[in-house]
Amino acid sequence: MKRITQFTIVACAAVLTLFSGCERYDRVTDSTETSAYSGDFLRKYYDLQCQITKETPGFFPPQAARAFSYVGLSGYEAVVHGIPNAKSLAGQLNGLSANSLPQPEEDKAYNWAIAANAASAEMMRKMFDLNLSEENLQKIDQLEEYNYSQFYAANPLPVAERSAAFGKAIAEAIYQYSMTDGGHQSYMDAFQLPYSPPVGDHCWIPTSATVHPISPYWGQCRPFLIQNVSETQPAPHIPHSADVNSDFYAAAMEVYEQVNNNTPEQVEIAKFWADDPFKTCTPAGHTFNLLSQLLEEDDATLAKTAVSYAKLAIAENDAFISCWKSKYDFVLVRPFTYIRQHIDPDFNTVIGTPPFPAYSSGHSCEIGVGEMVFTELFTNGDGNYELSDRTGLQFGFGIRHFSSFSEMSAECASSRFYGGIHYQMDNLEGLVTGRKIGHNVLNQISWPEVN
Amino acid sequence: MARGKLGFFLVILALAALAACENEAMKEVGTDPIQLMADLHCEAVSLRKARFELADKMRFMEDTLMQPSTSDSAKALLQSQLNDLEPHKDSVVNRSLDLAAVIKSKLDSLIEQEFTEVEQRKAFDADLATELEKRGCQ
Repeated sequence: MKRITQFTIVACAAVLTLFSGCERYDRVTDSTETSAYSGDFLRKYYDLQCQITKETPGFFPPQAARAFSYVGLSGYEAVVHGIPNAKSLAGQLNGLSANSLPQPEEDKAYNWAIAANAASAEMMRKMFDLNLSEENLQKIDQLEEYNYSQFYAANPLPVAERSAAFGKAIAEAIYQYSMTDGGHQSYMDAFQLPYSPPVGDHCWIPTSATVHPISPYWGQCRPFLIQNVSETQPAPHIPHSADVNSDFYAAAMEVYEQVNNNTPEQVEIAKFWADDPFKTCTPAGHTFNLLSQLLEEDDATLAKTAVSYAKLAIAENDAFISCWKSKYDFVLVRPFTYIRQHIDPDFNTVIGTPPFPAYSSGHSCEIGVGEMVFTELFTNGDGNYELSDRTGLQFGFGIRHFSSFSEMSAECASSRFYGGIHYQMDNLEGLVTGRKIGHNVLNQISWPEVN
Repeated sequence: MARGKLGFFLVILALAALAACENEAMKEVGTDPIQLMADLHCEAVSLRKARFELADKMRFMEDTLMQPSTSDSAKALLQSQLNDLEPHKDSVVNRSLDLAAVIKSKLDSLIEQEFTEVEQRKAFDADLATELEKRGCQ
């Protein structure tokens, strides 16, 4: 009888072990530190956001970066009270005053995963709001419900409900903050008309059927850190000139010769970083996808996941504001136009030229912040990391390998040169701007140490 | 005896649970992950090339449309041809997105269930690259 009883206990334990092995997420019952949860569920939101960005009208690079940024902020603020020594971003970000965000109730238990889940879902709905399709709204709802179902059972109902309500309250408060940044619902008017571009030999003119440039006033949006715009503007570009002996002519000739002598790999690189000619989740989306991959490889906790997305979120948002300011301050003509006017009237680029001015490069700015944030998060500071970027695999691109994050950013920046759509100075200055912004975000905001 | 039956029942249940987990994994990743991913990736490569070719065709037509030297009759013809390409574009984009969702799902399953270590993923990347090269779809 005793043997049967022991056998029964062992069998019960086996059943429980096996069933729990099928579970995907941790279950924590009280205000356990955020590092006790897996960050897997949060990554799913960024996968979904990439998809929704592609399918929602009006989400060009600046709008997309902004939407990613507020989802990142919400996720962080929903869990910040569960990270030891972590400070809220309220009081640290431009226009977000200290103590302006909801606080958790004292002496009450919270499940931070539930809070982050609710905050992320709610903010994503708000960011796409008016243009969000019914199908994509359902996908957000389903992801939120699925995650909630994975967490709530092990918690007393009041804890689960309180945590979800807290997450939604955070999202609502940050949404209110977002409404005054100058980009609110900008997807409804991405071209910000009326806008009359300046006229002159050096000035941008349309390079495709899209005759209006995208978001000419984006540089006036409120950055999260003022210095990310005020202290990161590039020096004036090489003076425009049609003289064949000028530096500007040489810069354009450099693009022309590169395009005509691209190796097959350089063509591949140009297309890889362009992502797609029709629907992309924009360069910021590519970098968020990379972060998701890195977090997955790191088996990151919810604490590290939330902090990582928040760092990249703030930096990406400000990168597009800073970059767009320089684009419309200088309104520099694209190589496509200049080369046709002065070098070869039959010139064509490898990839389509985006409808906005050249100087500086948006891809370069945004990957510059990616380089800095990834280096801080995943290396000892040297930036060395064996990275296999498989984010394009699903769209028919190969896996690209890098041995450091600086190698990754340099290739991304150069891709615009190989593509024939940017002068090298656009890319070099863009990278400098992005790195400065990344440095600011990492060093001028108080971030918790997370593992 | 009743306890013995209960124990037996629980063992069967445990085995069923284990089998359910395994079946789920097999369904997700297929029996040969490299072959499966290579099949899907080759199809994705083909669609990618189609997208870029179509995009080039469309932008070159748009470019001609913008040229002052293009006659009105040529513009009308080009515009009509461009309009005709739109459904084709939608089709290739939608097929690409559908396939991408399948590949993403399979890839996530592989990483979560089979290649959980970095070294395993590197080996997977290398094996897949070899297979793709062998098939000539890059």
